[in-house]
Amino acid sequence: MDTHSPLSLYSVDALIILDSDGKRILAKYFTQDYKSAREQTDFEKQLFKQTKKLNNELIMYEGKLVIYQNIVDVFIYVIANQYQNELMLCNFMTSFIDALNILLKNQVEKRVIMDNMDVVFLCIDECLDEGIILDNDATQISSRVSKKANNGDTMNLSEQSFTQAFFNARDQIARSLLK
Amino acid sequence: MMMQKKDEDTDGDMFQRIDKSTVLQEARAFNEYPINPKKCQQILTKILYLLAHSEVFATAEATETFFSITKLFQSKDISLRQMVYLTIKELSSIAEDVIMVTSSLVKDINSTSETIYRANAIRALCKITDSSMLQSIERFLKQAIVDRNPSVSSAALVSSHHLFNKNKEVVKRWINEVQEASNSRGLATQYHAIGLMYLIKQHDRMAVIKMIQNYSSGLRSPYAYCMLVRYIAKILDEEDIDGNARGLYEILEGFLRHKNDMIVYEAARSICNMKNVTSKELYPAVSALQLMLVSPKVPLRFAAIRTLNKLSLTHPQAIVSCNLDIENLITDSNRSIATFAITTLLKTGNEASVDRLMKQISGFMSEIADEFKIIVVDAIRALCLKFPQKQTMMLNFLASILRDEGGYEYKKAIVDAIFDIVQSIPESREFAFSYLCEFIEDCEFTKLSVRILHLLGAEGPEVSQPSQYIRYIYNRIILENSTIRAAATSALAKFAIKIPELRERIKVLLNRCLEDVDDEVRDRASLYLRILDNEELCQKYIVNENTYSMNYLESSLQEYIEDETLRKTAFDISKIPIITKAQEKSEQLRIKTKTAGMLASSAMNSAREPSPKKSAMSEIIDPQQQYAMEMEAIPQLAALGKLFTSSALTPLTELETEYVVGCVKHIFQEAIVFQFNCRNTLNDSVLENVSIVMDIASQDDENIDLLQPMFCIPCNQLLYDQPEKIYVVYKRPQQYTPSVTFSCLLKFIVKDCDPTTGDIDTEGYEDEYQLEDLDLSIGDYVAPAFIINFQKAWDEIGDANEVVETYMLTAATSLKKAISSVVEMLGMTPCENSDIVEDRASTHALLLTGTFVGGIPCIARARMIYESSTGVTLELTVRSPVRAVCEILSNAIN
Repeated sequence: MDTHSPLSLYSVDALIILDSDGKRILAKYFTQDYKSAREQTDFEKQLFKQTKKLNNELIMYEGKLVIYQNIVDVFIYVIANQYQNELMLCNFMTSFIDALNILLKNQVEKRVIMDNMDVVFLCIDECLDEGIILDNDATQISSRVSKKANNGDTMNLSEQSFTQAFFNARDQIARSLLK
Repeated sequence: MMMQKKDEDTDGDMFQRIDKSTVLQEARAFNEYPINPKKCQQILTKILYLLAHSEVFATAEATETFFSITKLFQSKDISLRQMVYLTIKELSSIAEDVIMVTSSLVKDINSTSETIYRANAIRALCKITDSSMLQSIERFLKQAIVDRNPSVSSAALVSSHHLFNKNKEVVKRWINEVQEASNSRGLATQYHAIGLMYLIKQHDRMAVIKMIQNYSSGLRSPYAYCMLVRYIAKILDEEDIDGNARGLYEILEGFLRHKNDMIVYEAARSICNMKNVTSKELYPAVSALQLMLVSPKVPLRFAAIRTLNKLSLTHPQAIVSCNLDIENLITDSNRSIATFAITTLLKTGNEASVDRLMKQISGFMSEIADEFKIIVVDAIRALCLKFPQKQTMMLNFLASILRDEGGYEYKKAIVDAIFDIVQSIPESREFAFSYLCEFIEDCEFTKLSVRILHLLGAEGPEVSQPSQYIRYIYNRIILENSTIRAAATSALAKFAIKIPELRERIKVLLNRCLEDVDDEVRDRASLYLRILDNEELCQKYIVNENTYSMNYLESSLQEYIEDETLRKTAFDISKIPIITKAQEKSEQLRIKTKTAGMLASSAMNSAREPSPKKSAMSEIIDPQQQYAMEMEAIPQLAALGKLFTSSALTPLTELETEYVVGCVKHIFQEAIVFQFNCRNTLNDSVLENVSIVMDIASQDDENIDLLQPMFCIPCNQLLYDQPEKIYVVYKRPQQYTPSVTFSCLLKFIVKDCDPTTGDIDTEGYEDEYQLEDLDLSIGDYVAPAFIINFQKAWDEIGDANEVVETYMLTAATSLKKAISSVVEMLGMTPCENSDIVEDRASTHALLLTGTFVGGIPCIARARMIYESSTGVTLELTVRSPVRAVCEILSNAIN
């Protein structure tokens, strides 16, 4: 079955995050429609021109269904084939943004995204797998993204090993109790 | 490299001046011990960032990085591990030997059930595996599909979905596990299970129906329900309505009352998109959409109007009840919604409402972007052709927007619209020309000016006061750039040639052009002055109604330029077929209506033609022209002469069989060519010496011996999934057009081959494969023809050779079916949208035109009456200059 068929699970063609100048923060393309880097940047440029002024939530663009949201200084786009169900994609978009909000502590903006790029990458990976919607439950998505190795400087090594030890011990006790 | 970040110091520090080679250097840290998780995670992030910015990694670079990343499996850090998986997935398509990490991944998959990254490991594993390795990891995947943890189960299901395209057979074996997963507590898991289950069962109609009935209630995931709705619609679309399907439709209709909007919309949309939907079935769907139109939520309004807009192309009458609500959307703040609303109204509007609507549009036009305006212009063009009486108002409107600001594409759309109106409504010419003259006075687009000047030259001399245009055209010669001056010179000359009274005066003007600074202008002027001096040349110029087939000329020239050997000799124009201008015009019109139809089916909904260059144009290339080119490349077939017409592809096998074969019938002046498109769907066998044996199975004609097999062009080798063509040629006397049924047999030598290496065994054995019978019917001898005015053509041919026959089509259960079968049997083209019939109508007149083999025009009118007790009664009247053709066609109904 070709990837465009509405009968397959493939529903998202691309997920793009642009900044307020229309420059790419990151983008994931799941189809071959915009193959070269050139085509992609052209597409993003035009798309941004179309969408920067009015927050319309969704438009048709170049035969594609485009769902977008402007949050502070970032523009998040979900691109899909026109045979897709826009309500389903809007629902997905909401859960993705909710998950981002949870992970970035309600600070979805360019600086925070750049600082937590790994978290955003993991978040997208937990939402979409090659264009298939993996999950649409924001809490579930965010819970699957593990926190950073050392969460900045807020938690130092000894503290972490202490928590680690604490959890380990708790697990041990729980197990021995259950036996 | 990533210069875009340079000037902003607020960005994340590490992505400033990020550079691939530095990052690859840094990646050496992966080899250090002990591993520093924080640092490594940062480097991985940088790699992913580069990939997400389309940075190209060479295979060697990627492979090296990939293997140093595998070192990180030693670290127990969860977050780092997730990043490792993500990077592995991203690099797997570039790096080599990625399979090497399989064991590390399998280890993670088998770790304790609390491990969060088990799901990630499964997805990464399926991404790096290839179809030959699949068997060895099958066990883990089957286990994972039924895992208690929904994310693990989902990961396995989604990965299997990806793998299905690579190795169907293995994935099909997991159906029981998938079935179990569909009861998972995870909502998304349910969705994935349903999707995969359908993928496995998709070609087994009964199994799909059973699946639908099983799951039509009791699912919890709305996404899963949406998929279910799509499957139902697919089944309903494929089959005639029988007992089973009725039940399915009821399920579908039941979803219209679901409490989740997403499912309601999916159901409504599916009903609207169904091919043979009746207005009774449409009614509840349209009502559901109507409720969404007034919703405060933008996506709901957008979804509803988009669907109604699409529906308006096929069933405008079904939407009329929503018109009031749609009119309110014209002022919607989302301009996409407003545009959809306008174009929908333009489709559904009747003559009376047009005036009011046009007023609203004028206000609206200034507020929207160019590409929306183009859609509106297209809609207005269609409307104008539908209601010719309104042309003055429409032209006025088009002229007024032509004066406004706008880019090239927009202006082009307007000019195109005016051109079309001029072509189909001759009375509008004078008005339109004066608007166009005014436009070129101040036109910044050279291309448009040239086209307009050409049109003025071609058609201007035919209006009542042609001299009025001379001034406009000559002004261009004074004021414009050389391209436009050249075009204007030609236009002037055409006036002079066609209107002898003006000749002397125009000569004066042309003489002035001889002084032009541009050589092209001077050349044209002197050429035309010479023609004008010679009455004989003038006559020749006027009566020359022929032109070259432009598409063909273009492709031949392209071929000539690309092929070194061809270029050694001069280009031979005599090979290009010559067609009359009328033919060219009708061809253009046909392409245009076809494009419009395509837009209608797909892109009209898309708020803009999907970049016309890319998709639309390539698809317009006539399949017949393509066939002709393919066959001309084969000397034996080229000898048959010019292709007259080609049928559509008839499948001769089911789609899921070992060998998939379809046939296209090509009619030549004295031959019939059967083109068999064959595809081998078995990856472990190769067919050699593939030929088709055709035999006449039945005929209703005693002269059938006149049809003699000539030769067969077999295919030497049919590899897996590489379609090849086989031709069988029959000789046919010119006037002889039999209806025959052929039996077809595929003969070949089959050899085993290794699917992975492609090695072919030397030993093979002969085998045959029975194909379905192939019918050659009268309709195959008729080429489509396109005329603008049916009545005129009907009267022109006259009733001298008219043949009238009456038939009872007892098998037809509706007018719609009768129409499609008549069209198919006669092979003729319906005119004036007469193939569209209202659902409840009991009578209908179908108007058809065509060209019978030998180039004989034929035209037919089929009047039908439907009564539920007797079926459809058909009165078929055929006219043609040749009596025999009328008789053949009128007897073609069976």
